[in-house]
Amino acid sequence: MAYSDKVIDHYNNPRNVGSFKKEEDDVGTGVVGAPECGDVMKLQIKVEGERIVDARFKTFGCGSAIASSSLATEMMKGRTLDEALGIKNSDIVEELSLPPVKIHCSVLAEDAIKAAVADYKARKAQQAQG
Amino acid sequence: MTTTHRHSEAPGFTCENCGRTMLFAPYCAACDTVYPERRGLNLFDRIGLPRTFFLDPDLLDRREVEISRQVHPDRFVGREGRADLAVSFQASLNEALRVLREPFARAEYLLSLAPEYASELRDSRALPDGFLAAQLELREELDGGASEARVQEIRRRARRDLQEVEARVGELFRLMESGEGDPRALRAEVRLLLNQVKYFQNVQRAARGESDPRATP
Repeated sequence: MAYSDKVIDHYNNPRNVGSFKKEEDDVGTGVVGAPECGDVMKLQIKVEGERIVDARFKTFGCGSAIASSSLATEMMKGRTLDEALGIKNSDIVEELSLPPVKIHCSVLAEDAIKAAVADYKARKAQQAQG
Repeated sequence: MTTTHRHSEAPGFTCENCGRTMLFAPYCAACDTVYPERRGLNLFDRIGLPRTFFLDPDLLDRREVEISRQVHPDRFVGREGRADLAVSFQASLNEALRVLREPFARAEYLLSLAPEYASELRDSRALPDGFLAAQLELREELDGGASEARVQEIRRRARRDLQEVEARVGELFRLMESGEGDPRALRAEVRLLLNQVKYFQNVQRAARGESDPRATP
């Protein structure tokens, strides 16, 4: 399958690979997967106030899944939580020129963003309760 | 007929032209009659096999030989447009064999044949609690220089997981095909098990040191 140059670039030079400690108060973690290919994607955000100041990912999957999550971390940085939730998989498809058979990889990345933000919000709510 | 029985006979097709029984539904080799509309038949009917999870591998092998002979390109030599036909027959046969031979693919396919499947399960990505986190941990471990002993342990575990899934899927189909239990619940459990298969296979592959063939651009 032919990958676009942007996918290859993100694959060869993935941005923000790695992990934050998920126990840290200012970190939100989303782990999602796609049963049809057995890919696992972990996306983490570091938040100050309402703003995402840093992001990390670790993806075990195809080139497009790696590129999608790499791009997702870049797109999230600097955004507020609500702005991050506004990132749609179609934005990723467009930016990476993903072919139809790889659209589910971008969906996975969108799911990971939502899961990371949801995790952060849930942890904050829990902390607020004491 | 929507129910299947473990030992049911293959439906089979009778050629409308010569009255003989056909092994390959789209084509009667005996009288050279083509049934184009039958190429879209479900994979079991297409190659004259009973719709069951418990297919005899030897029967599949025999069917492959028999039908391959019937649709061999040599049989169509010199007939206009027939070379393409031979190719499409072979492709149609290969598709059926590929899906029906492999137990997980066969289970997946059988599940998809249930009329309720689309509304009930098609979009189900259900996994057991904690499953993804555990898989992620294993992949990170394999990626992060686990000891050789640990790698082998992970590999063996993944293999055992796959064997257990296959055994349980077989058990669930046995119940379904004999009409025992709640079919909806049985299908849901099959779905839950099949959703785990690719993860186990990926862990197994990573533990063997094989790179994911899809990973490299």
